Parts: sequence; structure tokens; C-alpha cells
Amino acid sequence: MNHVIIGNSAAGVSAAETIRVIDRSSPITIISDELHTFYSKSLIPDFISGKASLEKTYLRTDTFYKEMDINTLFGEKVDKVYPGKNTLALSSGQEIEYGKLLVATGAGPRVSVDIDTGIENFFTARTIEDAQAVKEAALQARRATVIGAGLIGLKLAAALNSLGLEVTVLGKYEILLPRVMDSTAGEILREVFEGNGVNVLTGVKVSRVSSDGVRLSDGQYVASDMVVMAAGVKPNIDMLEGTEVEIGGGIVADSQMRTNLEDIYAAGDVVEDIDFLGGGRRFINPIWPKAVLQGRIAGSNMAGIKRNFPGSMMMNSVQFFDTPLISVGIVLHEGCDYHEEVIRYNKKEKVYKKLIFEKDRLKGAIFLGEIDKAGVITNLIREQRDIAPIKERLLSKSFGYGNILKVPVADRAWIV
Amino acid sequence: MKEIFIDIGRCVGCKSCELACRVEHSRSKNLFAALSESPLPRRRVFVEYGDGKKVPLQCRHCCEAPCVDACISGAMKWDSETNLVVHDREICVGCWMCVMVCPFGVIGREKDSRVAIKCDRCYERDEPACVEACPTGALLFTTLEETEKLRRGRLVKAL
Amino acid sequence: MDVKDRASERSVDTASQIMLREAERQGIDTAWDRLEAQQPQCGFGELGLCCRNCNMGPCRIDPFGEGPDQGVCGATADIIVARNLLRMIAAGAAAHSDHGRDITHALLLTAEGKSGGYEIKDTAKLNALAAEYGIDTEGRNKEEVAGDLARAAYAEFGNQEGPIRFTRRAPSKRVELWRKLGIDPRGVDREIVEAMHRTHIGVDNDYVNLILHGLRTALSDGWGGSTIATELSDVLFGTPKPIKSMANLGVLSSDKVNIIIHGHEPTLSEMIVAAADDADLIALAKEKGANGINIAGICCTGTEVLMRHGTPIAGNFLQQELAIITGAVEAMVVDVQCIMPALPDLAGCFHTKIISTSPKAKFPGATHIEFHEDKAFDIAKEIVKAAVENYPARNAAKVKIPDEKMECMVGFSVEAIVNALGGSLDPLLDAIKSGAVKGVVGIVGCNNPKIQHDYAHLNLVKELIKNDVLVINTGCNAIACAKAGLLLPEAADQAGDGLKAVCRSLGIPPVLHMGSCVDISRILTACAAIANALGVDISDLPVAGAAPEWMSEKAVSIGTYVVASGIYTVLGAVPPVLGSANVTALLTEGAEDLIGAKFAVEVDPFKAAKLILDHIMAKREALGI
Ligand SMILES: Cc1cc2nc3c(=O)[nH]c(=O)nc-3n(C[C@H](O)[C@H](O)[C@H](O)COP(=O)(O)OP(=O)(O)OC[C@H]3O[C@@H](n4cnc5c(N)ncnc54)[C@H](O)[C@@H]3O)c2cc1C
Ligand code: SF4
Ligand code: SF4
Repeated sequence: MNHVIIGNSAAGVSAAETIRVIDRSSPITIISDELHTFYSKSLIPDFISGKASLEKTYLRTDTFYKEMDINTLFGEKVDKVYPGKNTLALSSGQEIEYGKLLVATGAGPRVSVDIDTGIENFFTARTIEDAQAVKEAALQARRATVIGAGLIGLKLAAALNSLGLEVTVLGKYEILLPRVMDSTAGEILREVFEGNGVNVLTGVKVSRVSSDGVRLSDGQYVASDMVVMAAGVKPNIDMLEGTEVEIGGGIVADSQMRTNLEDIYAAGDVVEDIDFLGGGRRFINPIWPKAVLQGRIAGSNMAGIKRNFPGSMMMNSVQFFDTPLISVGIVLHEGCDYHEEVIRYNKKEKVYKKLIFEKDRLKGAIFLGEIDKAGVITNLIREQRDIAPIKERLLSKSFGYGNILKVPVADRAWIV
Repeated sequence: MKEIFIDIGRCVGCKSCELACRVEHSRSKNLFAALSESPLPRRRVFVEYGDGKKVPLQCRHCCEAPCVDACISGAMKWDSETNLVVHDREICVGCWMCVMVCPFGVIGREKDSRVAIKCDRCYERDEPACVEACPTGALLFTTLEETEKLRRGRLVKAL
Repeated sequence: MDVKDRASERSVDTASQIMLREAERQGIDTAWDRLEAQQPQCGFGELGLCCRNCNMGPCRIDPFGEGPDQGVCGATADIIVARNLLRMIAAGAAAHSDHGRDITHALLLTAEGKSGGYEIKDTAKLNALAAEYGIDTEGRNKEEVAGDLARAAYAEFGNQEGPIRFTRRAPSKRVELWRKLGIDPRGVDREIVEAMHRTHIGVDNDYVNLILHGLRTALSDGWGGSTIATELSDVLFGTPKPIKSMANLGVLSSDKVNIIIHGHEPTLSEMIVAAADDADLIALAKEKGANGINIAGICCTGTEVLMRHGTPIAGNFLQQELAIITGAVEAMVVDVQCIMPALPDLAGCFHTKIISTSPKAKFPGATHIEFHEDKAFDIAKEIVKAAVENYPARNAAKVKIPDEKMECMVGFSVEAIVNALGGSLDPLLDAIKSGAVKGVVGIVGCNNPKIQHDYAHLNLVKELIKNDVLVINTGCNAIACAKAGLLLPEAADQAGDGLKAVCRSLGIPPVLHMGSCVDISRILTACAAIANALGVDISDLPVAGAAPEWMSEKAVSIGTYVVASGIYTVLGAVPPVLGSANVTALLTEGAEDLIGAKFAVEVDPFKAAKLILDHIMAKREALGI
């Protein structure tokens, strides 16, 4: 079987490695329009701030592809996929055949604002090249504006702030991190950013980006020497245009990560997931661990070993300045009357914790300021265990896995 | 292959393992001297309490470990030679993705240097420091087969 | 591991090594094995961070700052460490002082003619003490005076307002300082009781205030209970004078009934020694096939008769089990303190009888023959008889007595030193002033299996005398030195030239044996006398204290009263205080400003010697000598 993978990132490489472990001989080809070997897109803010060097963003050694016997076509863009012929066309004109195809093309920046044509100080930050450009521009600039108060926007804002720039963040919604925080947590976070000298403007709409600043729809003008756009992503699916592959918000795949077409699989940011925590909500869940896992599941099934993706839920973790924060599952429940929540808030210490339940199941959690043992909660959410016996203890100071022993756990071979 | 097993009923909650772990991961390897080190050595084993039981817990070195999947920097890795989940503090950026996903909650943080901290199973030692430190034998460093024998032996006795 | 190696790692004493090998051969566990079995020991305990003072606990503080930093009540590391230390001091002070009380009781019974065999041996001392207490001696017989003295001493324990009489031996500057700090002890029992009160949950929560009371409690021991024990023992049993004897396990006899007296108080050992001279009992021994009765001591009760009667000493604290393993001990007669509960079990492997005697100290598995002062001699005879009758049970095949024994010269009470100096302290003061003797260091304390047996004791002593420092010692350090030949005038050869010359001219050893652990009070008395003679405070003197192998709570009290008396003290084992940086700093730094002396901790005896020498040189310089 001839395996072809588009995308040399979290999902693509994870799939290739999985295939290689199962099948030592079938040819594997990874195609990427980027020139770099596998690097971490998530480290782009750290690369910009200088915390991570270019070398540090690389996730595999130079000899990785050779050792794994993987063919690479780097710097080649896939223009079109021909499912009928099991081939695809590269922008160089070359045509490649595939037995099984994995689309792991990720998601690109969504640029939803009007921009003056020809300006050179407007950036996105999806690739390391983008990042290099931002980094260079930051050397000259004094003021930077980041459009987008989501996770990536704030990460970029913090990175630029650490380089000494005067940074303004523009957010569409009233609160920061609108999908991962609630209003209290968002407010604490705003204090953290403002306390570190970042201007935060929320509830604003950008009407136009010019070379010397950003005009808001309310007439305000934010003067800046550079503008970085980080407001949402859109799946990279152009190459599937005109095919039968079912597309929703992203590529639609089943639990084996297979599309509606026999030989085409999809994994990572490009996929439209169903939030298994609630009501069949469909969404793009652009996070690293999910891409790795979907890549592994896709790879395994492509190589003939059946495995199912356990389902997608939101989660993210980040540290802004000295404040770590973790958000898992469904954290906003306005309008859902069956939910109940427990909150611990220590204003002085800037510690905020919130758990969201639906009866005796955990649905979501926010940890801000203090995140120890968060993983135990994440797992309770993921496994949708009945937490009735330990409900009151979930936010106690001594909470940990020890408490879970009361709840049936399948694999505990290591406990005598 | 030897692993750390936990004989839960035996833990008395003295936290000797926690102290031994920190001493082992200190520069001086001496309790008294370790107290004045900066940064202070962090524990990688946690004595937890639940359901009337005291549970000493450290990294389970999962296969297909969630922390390895989640790590955005490549700092958390599976080492196929030792079958251990290893962490490289030089690479770690302190994003705490691993803390978010470890189902056992055994990844700690070195807050000042902003790196994750977790059990390395004292790979340089014959026996992990926590196991050696346990005065009651609640922590065992042995193979699955041996543990099964023990478990079955107990079941038989209980009959 | 190589059996031979293990033994020599555990002790530097050849006799002990031989017995350790024997123990190993027979598969017998000793303190060293039990220490191994205890490894690793609890770090919270080592750091003093575990509190069990109330039943909301036990609580412990995470020394690395990740876990709780307060107990349930809110107690911090500082509070818990200070409270634990204060309780250790209180326990140590209680042990010494209760010993003093027992001696007082014996003196009172004797004065009233109710004791069974004691008599007042040292009238000169009796009169001197009576004078100190303002007790009339004119035209009164010694019993009357002794009765008043005993009652006055008794009253010190229950004294409510102070001062404790003997504290006033200290230079007035020192007393003034104690007063100023509010640590002039008011009464022995009161301070101990108050220590227990303060450390109860929710009472004293200021570590400085707690430690200050620790100093006061310890002072009530050093200048109170311990001094009373020493002084009244001298009255009753005679003030020690230099006398020669033998030390180490080799003093056990292969053909006599061996009785070991072990523990702390002289009331019992004095009588056993007397009873062993009883013709009937000797005849009985012969009848049982023995060639007589041999008494040997271990620990302080042994030291008491060693220095008063020349009764040989079989060893120090860690040799108590080894003595039994010789298989040649018919009876080990014990009273109180430092008697390992392991003994009866161990004795069960041999024919040895453990005979407990104190109503305060019973040992499961031992024969209990309760000792009462009013029938002292009769009971002592009963005990000796039990030992003699046990002689036929000795299994010759199991007997292994090491040859090692060493001659020693002991019994340098303050009075004896003054006497050796020709009637006044001046020759010593002159030697100190001239630099022939650089200073005086009191070395005391236990054995501790965490430290190679006798290693720290001997090396510290040798280093110091080599550098012209006169060593005065008590307790287990003195026994270690006795075994190593350091308590002989000839040991002056190992001293520096200055000290050597002084020892030669006076015919004294460079290491002066002052007695048992309560006799550290003699060291205080000596320091006070020297300071008074020079018109300075004790803290100005080129003197220091050391407890290289300490382990007991008594040692904590001793160390504390020595420091509170103005004497720099180096500990050879780490005390359980490091969990609180504040308490540690107070003891090892802040105390200097407070009371003119501080603690240091140094496990390496050579480095400890260096610390002490530096300290002595600094003090000399400050005095301009
Ligand atoms: C700035 C930033 C910070 C982030 N921080 C975090 C974080 O802290 N935690 C977290 O969990 N996630 C974070 N993420 C998200 C995370 O990086 C992504 O979820 C992850 O990279 C998705 O991996 P993927 O393999 O699905 O796609 P991608 O990593 O997007 O890789 C897709 C690859 O395919 C290539 N490609 C696309 N189209 C074509 C084509 N037609 N032909 C050839 N090649 C093509 C792309 O160039 C790209 O190299 C961050 C992302 C960014 C941009
Ligand atoms: S840190 Fe947690 S997730 Fe990672 S291997 Fe250890 S137990 Fe598993
Ligand atoms: S904190 Fe360090 S080890 Fe953990 S996921 Fe982030 S980079 Fe990886």
C-alpha cells in the first residue's frame, strides 16, 4: 500500500510514525508546502519572544525521515486531489499516486478584516516563516497591534510585549479568551495583561488596517507600527474543492478518521469534530494533542489496524506572564439550564477554579493561577465518569488521583 | 521489566518518599543541604489521600502517554530503550499542556524556571529513591509477574 | 559485605569490633543493625518538623515549601521546631534533675538514719555546701547539717520564685544577663512544667520566646538538678580523687562472677560494690565454682564507682549489648537512663540476667528486684546473690572476652584539680595566660551508632590536646578516652609541647576525667571559678564545649545550658532543628548576641577541632593573652 500524507506537522508525522511501526515496508510520502522539517507551530510565540530558538522548535532529528524510511516532498504544494484516479497534483505540475491519502493540512489564518493593499507591516503567524517576518518587523517597531483576543492572539501579544513593544490587543467579544474562559476568569486575565503593560480593547470591531494603524468601527484609531492577525482559523481544504469529499466546517471524518471516500483520511486542525461533551456540536478543535492523536488513529487504520478516535473536546493550557491557566471541556453554559457549577475564587492570590457539571458528570473546568492536578480533572471529563462519590472533593486542596480510587478504574495493574 | 508498583494498604502517609525524591533530585543529595538550595528540589512523587487510603503516586510511564502527545515542544518523550517517559528541561517551555492531560496528576511545575517536573524513575539508580525510602514496603520496584504472584498469594490467603 | 569490614566501620574500638564480629557470627542484632533497619529515617523527624502535640495532628510542615506550611492549628515550621526542641530540653532536664532528686532523697534518709547502708563520707564538702546555703554548722553533727542541706536541695525542685542557689556560682555578669533576658531559672520542676505547658497546643507560639524558656529550663538542670546530683553525691559517697583503674570489655573476668552495673545513679552501684565485698557472697561464689566476684560498670553509674572506688569500667553506651555478647556476664544490674530495651531479649540468648531495680524503669523480660534506699545494702546483697547463683549457668563454650583493657586515671573533681595544682587555680590560669595551655574544652556526651563508635570522641580529643588545649570530660566521652589510654599521664606525649610540659610537671593526664554526665556541673563550676578568678564572664574565657557523638535528650539539655552559660558548643550530630531556618539561625548565630555563646554543628571531628581552636584563639585575643 502506498501511503501519501499531505502536511508535515503534528497530525501528519504522527500518522507516518504509526504506519511505520505497523508496516515496515510500504512506501510513505509526506508532502509539505513548507521547507522546514517537522517543527512545532505551537512554539511560534516562544520563537518570536526568543524563548525558543529555531533549532528548539524542531521536533525530530535531521535523520528522522531517513531512519523511518519516509519519502519527503518539501516545498511542494498540493493543488488538487483526484479521488477517482487516486492521484494528486502538485503545484510544480508533478502528479503523485496514492493508495491511501491522509489530508493533514491543518488550518490557516482567517483574515476577516479589510486591509489597505500593499502594506508591508501586516502579518499572520501560522508558519515559522511568518514568525520570522514578525520577529524582524518587531526589531523596527515600537507599537504593535494584535487582532484577536483568543489564545493565539494573546500568546502573540505576550511575546511581543516581552520584546519591549507597546502592544494593544483587539478583541471582538467583551471577555478575553471568549471560548475558554468565563467572565470572571477573563477579567483576572485582563488585569494580568494590563498589569504587564498590554493595552486590552475588547468588544471592538476592526474596520480597516492601514500601514500606520488600525481603525475600529466605533471610530477609534489604534496607531501602530505593525499589525498581527490571529482571529480564528480556517481549514486548508482548497485541494479538495470539486471532489466528493464531504466538507462541513472542515473535513468530515468518521471515528476511524476516514472521510466519506474509501481511501482518503483526515486528521488534525483540518477536521471538523463533534464535541462529544455536548449536543453534537460541530467545531474545529485546533489543538496539538488532538492532532497527534487523530494522526495516530488515522495512521493505524490506514495501515490496517482498526482503532477509533475517542472523541474531541476543547482543552488548552498556557501561561501568560506568571499566570498559568487551563481550560477543559465546556466552560460556558449560558442558556443550558441543566448545568451546575462549583467555583473557588481567591481574589488576592488571583486563583480561580471552576468546575461545570451535568448531574454527576463533569463537563468542563477552568483553572487559573493554580493548575496542579488539573490532568486528573481532565481525565474525569474525558471519561465522563460518575463522580458522585467524590464530587465535593474535586476542588479540595488535597485532591488528586488518590480520590479517584473510589471510582471504578479499569487499568490498575500497578496497584497491588 | 521492572516498574514501580503500589501496595496501597501499606502506605502510612509518612511522606518519606516525597522527601527522598527531593533529596535524590537535589544537587547535594543531602537532606540538610538540599534545604538551602535554590531552586529547591521538587518532589516527583505525591502521597495522596482518598477514600481513607493513602496513595503514593508517581508517573506511571504510560505507553502512548498523553503527556507526550500533548507536549508542544518535544520536551516530553518516550524513550524506547528504557521504556520511560522522559522529560528534557532544556527544551520545555512551561506551557503546561502535559499538566493538563496527565490523568494521574503527577506532573509538577518548577515555577520560577517554568519547566515541568516529573518522575524520571531514578534511571541512574538500581532502585528508585522513593521505593528505597518507603519504610513499609508500600512502593515496590519489581516486575508485573512478581506483583501478580504477590496479589494472587494474598487472595489465596484471604480465602 | 565483609563481616570484618562491617565491624571496623561501626567502631574504632578493637574490643567492640571483636564483639561485633562475634554478634555477626551468632546472628545477633545490635543497635547498629537496628539503625540499619530503621533506614531511611523520617526526614520530617530529622528536621524537627513533625508535631504530635495535639490530636488534630499529627502535622508536618513541608520543608520544601510545596505542601502545607502550617499545622492544623496554624503552627509554622518555626513554632513546631522550637516546641519540639523545648520538649527535648525539658525531658533531658527532667532526667538529670530527677536523678538529683533521688540523690537528695538518699542523703535525707541517711541524715535521718533511715537509709540502709549509706553514710556521709565527705564532711568538708558537706560544710562547704552548707555554708553556700547559709546552713548553720556550728556545733551541729553532720547528720543534722546534712538533713538541712537535703531539705534545702529538695526545696530547689519545688522552688517557685528562685533563685536556685548554685546558679549564683556563676559570675555576677552572667547572672545579671540571665535576669535581663528573663531566663534566670526559678525552680527546677517549675521550668520543666512550664516547658510542657508552653508547648501545649496554642500557648507559646513565638520561637524566640520558646527557645529562651529552653535556655531557662536547661539552666535549671545544669546549675540546678545536675549540680545538686553531683554535690550531694560527693557528700554521700566522697568527692572523687585521682585513682587508677582499668577500662574496656577486657575487664570482665573469665573465672569470676561478672556483674555489670549499668545506668546512671550512684545510689545503687555504691551498694552493689559494697555487697560484692561481702564475705558470705564471695564464699557463695566460690561454692558455685567461681573465683570471686567482679564488678564492672557501663555508662554513668559505672563511672560513679569507677572514680570513687576504682571499679573497672567495661565500656560506654554502645558497648552495653557487646558486654552481654561476651557470654561472661552473670547479671547486668540496671537503674535508669540509656538502658536499651533490647537488653532482655539479647540476654535471653545467653545466661545473663538483666536485673532492673528502679520502680521508674521496668523492662519486660528482666528480673525486677526493686531497690529502696532504706534497705539498700540488703537489696544489693540480694542482687549480687542472684548474680552469683547464676554463675553455674554460664556456658564456657559461649564465652568470648576480648583481651583489650586499658589503664586509666580518673576522678578529677574540681577539688581534685585544685589539689593537683597545689591548692589554687593559679598555676592553670598562669599556664593559660602564658599560652602553654591555649584553653580548656569540656567534651561530653553519648555514643550514637550514626557515628563510628568512639571515632569522633577520640579524634576530637586528640586534635585538641595536640594543639595545647586541656580537655576535661565526662560520661561516654571519658570512657572512650579511658579505653584509648588518653586518661593516663603518659598520654601527655600526644599533647602539644605546652600542654605536655604542664601535664608532666603536675603528673596529670592531658585529658581530665571529671565524672558522669551530671558531673558536667563540675565543668560549669570550674569555668565559673576561672572566670571569677579573672574577673570576667564565662563567655570571655578561652573555653568551649563539645558533644561529638550525642544522642540523648539529656545531651540537648546539656548543650543548651552550656551555651546559656556562655560556652561555645560544637555538636557532632545534627540536632532536629534544621526544618526552621529561623530557629537554626537563632541557635547558631543569634544566640551569640543574646548570651555570648552559640551552637555549631560539625560532624567531622577534625573540622570541629578547627572550629574550637579558632574560637579559643579569638577569645584569647579578646582577653589580650
Ligand atoms: C501561534 C500558534 C500557537 C499555538 N499554540 C498552541 C498551544 O499552546 N497548544 C495547542 O494545543 N495548540 C496550539 N496551537 C495549535 C497547534 O499548533 C495546531 O493544533 C497543530 O499544529 C495542528 O497540527 P496539524 O498537523 O493538524 O496542522 P498544522 O500544524 O497546521 O500543519 C499543517 C501543515 O500542512 C501544510 N499544508 C497545508 N496545505 C497544504 C497543501 N495544500 N500542500 C502542502 N502542504 C500543505 C501546512 O503548511 C502545514 O505545514 C498553536 C498554533 C499556533 C499557530
Ligand atoms: S506523566 Fe502522566 S501521562 Fe505522562 S507518562 Fe507519566 S503518568 Fe502518564
Ligand atoms: S510544560 Fe514542558 S513538558 Fe509540559 S507540555 Fe509544555 S513544553 Fe512539554
